Amino acid sequence: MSRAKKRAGNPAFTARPVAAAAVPDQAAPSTLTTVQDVPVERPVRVDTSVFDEQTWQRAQEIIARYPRSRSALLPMLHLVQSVQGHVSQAGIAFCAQQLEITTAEVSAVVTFYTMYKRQPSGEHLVSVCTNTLCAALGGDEIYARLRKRLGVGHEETAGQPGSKGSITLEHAECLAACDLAPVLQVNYEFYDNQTPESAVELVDALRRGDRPAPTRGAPLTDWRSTELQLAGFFGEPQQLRDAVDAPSAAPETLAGNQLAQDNGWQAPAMPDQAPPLPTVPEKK
Amino acid sequence: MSAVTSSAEAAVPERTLTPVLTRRWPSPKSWTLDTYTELEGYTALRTALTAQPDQLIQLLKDSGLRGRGGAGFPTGMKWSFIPQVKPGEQAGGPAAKPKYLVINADEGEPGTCKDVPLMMADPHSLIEGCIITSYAIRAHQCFIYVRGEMLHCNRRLHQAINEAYQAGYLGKDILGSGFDLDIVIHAGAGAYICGEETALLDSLEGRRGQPRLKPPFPATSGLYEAPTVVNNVETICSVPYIVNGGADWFRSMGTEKSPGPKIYSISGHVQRPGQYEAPLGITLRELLELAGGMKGGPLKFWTPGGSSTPMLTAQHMDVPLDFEGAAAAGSMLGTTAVMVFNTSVSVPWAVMKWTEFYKHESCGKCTPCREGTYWLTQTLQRMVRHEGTAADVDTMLDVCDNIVGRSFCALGDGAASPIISGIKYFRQEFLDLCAKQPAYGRPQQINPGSKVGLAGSHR
Repeated sequence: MSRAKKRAGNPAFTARPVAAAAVPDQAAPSTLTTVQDVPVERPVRVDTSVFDEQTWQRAQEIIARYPRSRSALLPMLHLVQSVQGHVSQAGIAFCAQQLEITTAEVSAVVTFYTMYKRQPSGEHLVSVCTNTLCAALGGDEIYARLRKRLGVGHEETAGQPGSKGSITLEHAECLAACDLAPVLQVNYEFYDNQTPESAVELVDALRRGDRPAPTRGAPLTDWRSTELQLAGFFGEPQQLRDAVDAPSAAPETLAGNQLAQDNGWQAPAMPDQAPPLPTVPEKK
Repeated sequence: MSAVTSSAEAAVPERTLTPVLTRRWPSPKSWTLDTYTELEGYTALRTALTAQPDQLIQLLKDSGLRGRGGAGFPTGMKWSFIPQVKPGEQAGGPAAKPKYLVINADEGEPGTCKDVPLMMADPHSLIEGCIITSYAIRAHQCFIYVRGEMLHCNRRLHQAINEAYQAGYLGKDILGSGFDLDIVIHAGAGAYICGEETALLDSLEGRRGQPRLKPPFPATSGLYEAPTVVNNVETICSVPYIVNGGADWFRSMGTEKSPGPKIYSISGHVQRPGQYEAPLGITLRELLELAGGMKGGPLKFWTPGGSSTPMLTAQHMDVPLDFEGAAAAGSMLGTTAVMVFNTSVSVPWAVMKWTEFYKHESCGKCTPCREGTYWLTQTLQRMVRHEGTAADVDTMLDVCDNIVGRSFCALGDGAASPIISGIKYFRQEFLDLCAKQPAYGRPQQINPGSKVGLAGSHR
């Protein structure tokens, strides 16, 4: 099937009710044209009904956080993922509608960022750091073992996406936990100081439907719930409070502190009173 | 510079570690407002709000604080670049626009792991720093751009912001000062390039995170084309301490040009990897001693501040790790992410892994970086497969030469760093990988029959 035909069958591309004369012939995709002067209307025929009233409300809440609405796009895409488990054409159309921008502008953003998944994802997302330092300490081996165990490659899902125990695997870039290497994340919660064996055990447990506690982070939920949190929605205050109080400090985090305490090392003492601030020429 | 009270210094001769920013970390529930206020939290804010904003900018200049995100730009000077309406003048131009403070919490430089634990353990110090900074630059809106993958950080910051609003540290008329400030936590979505300040601003505006051409600089045309200060987390967390302790106290740690304490993150083949806060200027030899020494073999190579800072070797163990010392040794201080590798690690392999990272994270905006990182990855992968030729080493240096200084932002320069420094110190190791290959000059991949075509050949 030609690309043009494929596009013609795709609601996101057929949904622009623009006068035929105003747009370039879609059957001739090799023609380069500028669309600057073409009045672009938002797609109307993509079915966005999967996004319910609450999601609409949340989208509006995100927009309200910013002086300019378009700033809401990144969190809104996290919101979309929390509903659908990936960013679909409907998700793109939804964001475009909310922000009054084109679907092309939304797609450009979706395709830029690693955390936006364009295929339906598993209940859990397992991200293994394979950057140099983690890799040298065993990250590459962990990733290879998990690939074998789950029978999938990068950004592929073991099990029916979205079903209980399904896992999307990915190799990740540096996860900013190098002192705890090698690390992996499940739904962006940290599992530190891993070995191939502990990692296999972990994914086996996830496949069974268990949710082993992370080393640092809140009790494990599922990837879609964490995406809702990244959109800025943390549930009831008590829910957030409980999640916030989940552990964060590993012995490594406090290594320097511990050593300083053991040896009685301290920073120079501050003056009892904050010293007077420097004077500057009077501006009134 | 004003005279430092030397008597206080002489009283405590040996100060190997100086926990300042990390001081609260071991406290129970260090992330809560209660713990924070118990340990002098929000006292600096009260002092700051009684001052003229310009006094705070001057204080920061006096303190000599330099940006902790890698570049080391003097913080006070950055703040002073924000155009302000002068008394008696008609408001116009950038000075008339709203000002913004944006916190770069998109920690992602390989090896770097200081901001995440800092925000997790002590989020209120960042918030207090944000309020003081916003007051100084006269901003009423602040954004904290947190890396998306750092979910627990995100949570802690959200909760801390909630607490701060409830306690009257944020919102309208903060502590009765008449000053208003709102802070919004903004989660990223997985792009290393968004750690570059202008790419971060584009990302925060809801676009692909691609760097902007400078000038104009963010100080005059940043977020929403308005004057904007972009600062790293550790930089802003230092601000309350400087207000409370004063410039002289801050300068009693570190060196004259690189004053203050700094969180060194030691990772890799060491006995006790972790976070060690020490005065700027500490050496690797001292850090290794603190971290219990090497593990699994002697030191082979290390980075002073992430993969974008040229690697160093065992001959550099006594280089003072401050901005000047690292630069004099041919590297950079970067983020003080000290990654330590023993002799079990192959340099070409390590360099290949880093180059794969830069290739993945290159935003694609400019040609030298986009194409250069792609072809460097191909070349390095081939070398590591023992399929390279001796000529590849010079080819890579040539490609690096075409990236450094010719790319839009520092990512390109960073991508070339491990390769140039790796070849500089370990050229033989690269050549040894090619030993089995005939030493013909032209790489095999440009053979017309090869599956891999030349870039831009349009075949």
